[in-house]
This record gives sequence, structure tokens and C-alpha cells, in this order.
Amino acid sequence: MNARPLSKFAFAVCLLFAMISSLSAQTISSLVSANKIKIGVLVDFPPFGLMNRNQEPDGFDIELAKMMAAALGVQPEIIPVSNANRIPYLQSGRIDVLVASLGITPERAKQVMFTTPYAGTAVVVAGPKSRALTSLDQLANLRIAIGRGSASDAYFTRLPPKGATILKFDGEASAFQAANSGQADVFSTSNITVASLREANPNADFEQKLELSTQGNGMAVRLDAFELHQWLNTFIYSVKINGQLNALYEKWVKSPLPVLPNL
Amino acid sequence: MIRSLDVADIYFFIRATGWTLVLTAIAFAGAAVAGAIVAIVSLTRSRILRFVAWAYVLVFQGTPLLLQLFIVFFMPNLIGITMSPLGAATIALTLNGGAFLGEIWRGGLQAIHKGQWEAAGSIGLSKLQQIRWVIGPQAAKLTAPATVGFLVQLLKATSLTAIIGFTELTRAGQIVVNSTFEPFRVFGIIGIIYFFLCYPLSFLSRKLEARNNTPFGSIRATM
Repeated sequence: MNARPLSKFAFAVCLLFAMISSLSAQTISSLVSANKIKIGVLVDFPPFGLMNRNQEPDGFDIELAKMMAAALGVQPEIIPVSNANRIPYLQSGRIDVLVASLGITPERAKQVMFTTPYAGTAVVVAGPKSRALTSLDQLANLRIAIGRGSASDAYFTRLPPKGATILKFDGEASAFQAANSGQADVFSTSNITVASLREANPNADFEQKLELSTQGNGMAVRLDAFELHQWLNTFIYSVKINGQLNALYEKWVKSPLPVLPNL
Repeated sequence: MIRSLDVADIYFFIRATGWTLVLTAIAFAGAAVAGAIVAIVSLTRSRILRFVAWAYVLVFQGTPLLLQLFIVFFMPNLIGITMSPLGAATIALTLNGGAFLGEIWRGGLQAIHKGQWEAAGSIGLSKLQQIRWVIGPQAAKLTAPATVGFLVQLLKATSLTAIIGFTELTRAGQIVVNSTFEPFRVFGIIGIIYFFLCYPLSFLSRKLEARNNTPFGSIRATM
């Protein structure tokens, strides 16, 4: 999820971590000799990260994470994290790498080191079919439902449309319900969530209207983990050219992997 | 990729309810110990001790529990100590709860008429003995509803431990909602579970209040 992950105080604590961090840099050989890599994943962002029927983490990110650990030749330890705590988990050394749909932004890159993107999403606005909505100006005076801490939240915090009311809900599902029940005029989420909602609610009156921005998701390591970073980039490069990444994306997202510029 | 709500989710909620109860029990036990210390220390003659108790209450009532959990869980990692989620939750909930419970109980002790202290002192009881045998039982009677009310608050506050990785009831609900996109049904179920955890406590509070409403009842009981 390419989201603004932290409330303000958490952000401050993160900066503090970054300043006083005394963790030693991890190397490939230290991971291999420990025969374990601790990978932080989301479990509340389908289809990238979710809890399956057996209540185990599953999804695009989780399968890719396991594939990555296999390529490194170590056992994966999958650790569920949330939007709010994923960066602290990494910085404090509780995990080695995040494969948690973390959108690549310069702001976050001050706290973690991103790999080249392995997946991408777009922030979109969706609303009733009858509503004319083709340009940003038409968002004025609308009530827009979004999930708190989501990519939409980050977008509208940065570029609030004039006169629009932003309604923040705890999660994308609640934002959708708000628009569906008439508490909001439109809702904003990722293109992928809109596709999933379409599939689950074939009769609901909504469609994708506006594409606001696109963003690539990268894996993330601590700022000093250059060896691991380089290895992960190599891994992503290899699964891109051998078609595995695209096949995995097709399996979970049901659409071809978007072409993403390299980092 | 949206799946429907099924029986496995209900088992998931039941396991998560277990965590909510365990965290509440640990937190209340820890907070009771810390609160008793705070209440007693607040009544001592030592200015330094009173100041320490005052500062402790000020800090832990004045900052969010979420921040306290965050600091206790993540900070030790930076100096190479790995704090378990359960350890961090125990420490943070104890320190936070102690500040609130300490104030409730201090208020109770101070509400007892001065004459009771003097009478207890006149028969040769030490300060701690006065609290234990004379003032405490009367204060307990006074503060029982507030104490149980606090326990209900604490039960609900355990949902904040999701930030340090606990999948307790509220977090379990969020995870399932985001996979099923059925917030009304899921949070409806979660709400009902919370109600059945909290209602008996509220009921107990009323009972205690009613039972203690006879004048001096609890004093006779302890004598």
C-alpha cells in the first residue's frame, strides 16, 4: 500500500530511531549463516497481503517474499505488520526487509532504503455511474471518502481539492461503504481495490472515474543495508526478466504487471 | 481477491478474544500493584516521594498509551535488547494503568474522614496498619465502582496493543474486514463480543455498589 504510514508522533519517534540507531549493518553472509530472513508483510491489503481461510498470511507480497527467501537460500520468517508500524519494525531491527506494498516516496526514503519497484498501483476516484467526473475541478464541493493512512490520504493531504470535504475512515472497506450508503459522494482508493470491489459487488452503482497518480511499490531495507539492497535489486531484476513476477501479478491481481520505471 | 466471511474467521475472533482477556488480566494485575504504590506514596510525609508519585501520574496520564506502547516496544531494540510484545504490553499497560488506578485509590483514601485516621492512630496502629485495617476497607467501598469502570476502559484499551503486533479483537476485526469488505457484519460481531466481555463487569460494579450501600457494612466484614 503506497500509504502515508505514520501518525505524527510515530514519525517523530522514527526520526529519533534513525538518529540513534546502533544496529550493525546486515550482510548477505550473516543472513545466510543464520539461515533466516525476517520479512515484514501486510495482511490487510488484498490482493497484495491478506489472511487466507487458514488464517495464514497470503497474497502477492507474501508469495514474492517466499520466492525471494528461496532464491537467497534461507528460511523466510513472515511477520505481519500494519501501515502504522511497518517502518518502526524495520528500523528497530525486528525485521530484515519489508515486502509490504510500501510506495516509493522521497519522504520515506529518508527513513528506509527502497529497492527498484516490484509492483505498482494507481490512486483513483470512484463514484456512481451517473456522476460526471472527468477532471480534478469537478471534485470541488464533493464529499470524498478515503481510508486513513492510505495512498489516497497521502494524495489529498498533499493536494486537497478546493471546497471538497475529505472523510477519513479506518480502512478502504469502510470508505467504500460510506460512498455506497450515501454518506459520501465518491470514494478514493487504489485501482486494484476498485477492481476487487467490482468483482465482489457486481450490482453496486460505482465505477472508476479519475486516475490521480501512479506509484511503484518497493521492498525496503534499513538505510545502511547496502549488500542486501543490491541483492534484492538483482532478485527483482531476475524475476522480471524470467516472467515469474508477471505470472505472480496475474495470479493475484488479475491484470498484467504495469511497466514500472527502474529506481 | 475478496473472500466471504466464514467459520474460520469466527475461530480467529475467538483466539483474538483470548488475547484481549489475557492482556486485560495482566494489565489489571500490574496496574493494581502500581496503583497501590502510587496511592500510598501520595499520602506519605516525604516531599520527594510525593513529588515522584505526582510526576509519574503526570507523565503517564499526560501521554497517549499508544506512544507508551510504542516506546517500550521499539526503543530497547536500538540498544540491542529485544522486548517481546507481551513484555512490552505488560510494562506499558502496568505503568499507564497504575497512574489512573493510583489516582482513583488516592482519592478514595483521602475521602475518608480525618477522625478515622486519628482514631486508628490512637489505638497504636502504624500508618500502613491504619490503611490496611481501617481506611483501606472504607476507601475500597467508595472506589469500587470507579475501579471496575477503569477495568472496563482497560479492556477496551488493550486494542491499542495492535501497534506492537498483537492480533487482539479489534485488530482481528480490521484484518478480516479488509479481506472480506464486510465491515458491518464483522464489526457487528466484534462489538457483540466486546459487549459480552464488558457487560458482566459493569453488572459486577452495580452489585458491589448496591452491596456496599449499607453504612459500615464493609468495616464490620473486615473486623
